[in-house]
Amino acid sequence: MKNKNHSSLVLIDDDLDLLDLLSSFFKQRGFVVYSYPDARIALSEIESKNISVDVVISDLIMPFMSGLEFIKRIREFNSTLPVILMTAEGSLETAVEAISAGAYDFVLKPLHVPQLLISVQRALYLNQIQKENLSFKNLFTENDFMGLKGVIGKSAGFKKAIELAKRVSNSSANIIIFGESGSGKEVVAKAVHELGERKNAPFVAINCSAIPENLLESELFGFAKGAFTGAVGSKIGLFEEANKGTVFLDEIGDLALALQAKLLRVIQEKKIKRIGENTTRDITCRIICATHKDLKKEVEKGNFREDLYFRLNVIPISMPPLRERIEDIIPLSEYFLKKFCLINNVNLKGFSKEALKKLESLPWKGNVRELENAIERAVVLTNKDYVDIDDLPEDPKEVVKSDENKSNDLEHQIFDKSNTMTIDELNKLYIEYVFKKNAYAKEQTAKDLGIDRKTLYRKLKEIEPVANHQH
Amino acid sequence: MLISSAQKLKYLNRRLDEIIELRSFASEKNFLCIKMIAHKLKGNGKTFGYPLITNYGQLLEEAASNEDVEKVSQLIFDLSDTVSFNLNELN
Repeated sequence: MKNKNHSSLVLIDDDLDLLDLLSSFFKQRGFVVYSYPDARIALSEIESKNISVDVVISDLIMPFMSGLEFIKRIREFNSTLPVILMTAEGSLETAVEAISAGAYDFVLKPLHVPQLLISVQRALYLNQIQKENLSFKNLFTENDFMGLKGVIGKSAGFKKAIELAKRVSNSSANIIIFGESGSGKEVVAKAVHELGERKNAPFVAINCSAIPENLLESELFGFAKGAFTGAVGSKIGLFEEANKGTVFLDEIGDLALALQAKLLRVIQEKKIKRIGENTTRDITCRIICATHKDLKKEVEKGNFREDLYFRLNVIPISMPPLRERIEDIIPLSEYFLKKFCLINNVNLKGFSKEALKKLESLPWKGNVRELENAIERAVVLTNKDYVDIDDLPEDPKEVVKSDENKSNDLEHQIFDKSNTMTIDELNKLYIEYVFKKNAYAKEQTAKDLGIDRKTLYRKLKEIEPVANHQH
Repeated sequence: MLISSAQKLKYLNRRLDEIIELRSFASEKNFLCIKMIAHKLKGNGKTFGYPLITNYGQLLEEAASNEDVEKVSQLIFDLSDTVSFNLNELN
């Protein structure tokens, strides 16, 4: 709840005794109080923004302008300011009329002042939530790109991807989006969905690499009651859930071969079978896939079905990595700064010049996701009223150098005779070391460790929170 | 809520001024103005610790609506009596 010591209150009543009494009561409780015996003057002061106001308490029946008329007039330029009406006219009809006109609450005279205080505190809380809500809405609507809310980017590569998404949004052709992890593949998929005829239907996204194979199958296709141990009821899959909408299959390159065959059938026939059922069901959703892998190479290696590759690769869209669209870094950073200031209820002025330079110079191997995490961390940790260079992460190249210098530490930890460790501990320590050495790039880490990404995900989860915050 | 003696004194002294106005409006049979003052009394009496003033306010508002001259005069007299009594108590 907002600190009452900073809340401002407008009191309107032609009864000067009550005006004095309420004014002193609320001032004693730390409110900034503006009293008016005439609603017309209060209205003019609020409208001209001569005073800042969080809540209004107004009498209902007054000689020059009634409380109802006041509310109607104030709603013409302020739709959220809470107004509490007071009246000695205790009829239900009057109360209904007041609330219909937009009053937040309705209190009866003779006043029970502590009850009025509770009403004021609730109104302040509501006002605070409404203000926050409005700020979030503004944050999204002020970033309007080709009719898409909250989509930020002005680089040629980004524009090209979104423009292509717009062109194909109403077609039924299969789309596959290529791009590094965190580069915004889902943003493009959502753009296809939002810009097309399916925008009012569900958009369902799933990361194929983050879910075990058997679970992924039941997630996608659903299952019938008794299909397997634990299937106590039937469940619809995501293909059915996204009825007339879009299913976004992220990291399709990590899909197991058995599921690739099933997905191919879905794409070809537009029919699915729930696990444990014999009947087929028609699906009406559009399927958009994405991957960070070079699928052509995966086909050559035998990890990805060639027929599925050709089936998916009708309209390929490439999302360039953040380091290739430097122009997007500052607008994205500013957007994330506003977002996390709102979430954390802090007020930061922006970035220092040095911080902006650093933002543009960092390699951002984790792309937009890494940038977002870095800004969130900076907003939370900064002790200034802006984000400075020290609040941003170290250049990974420098971190690697520093980690190399610290390799003796790793060696020391492993071979310290007074501190032996288990194979499991050693395993975790080494994964963390390689992950850091690769500047938190998962693909390279998995490659260096000789494990697949799924295994790396699982291992990193076990190491939490040391390494997993970089996801 | 605690109302200080100073606040009560200020409140009752203002009522004395209003009683003078009420008598004047009663002699002019200006029931609209009587109603307005009575409505205020109905709303503020109890808040300042004087439920009887709220009661007189309510009755006076009704009597003025009915344009009942006799009742209006009687209620102004009773109101005046109550205000004077409470002022004496405070002093």
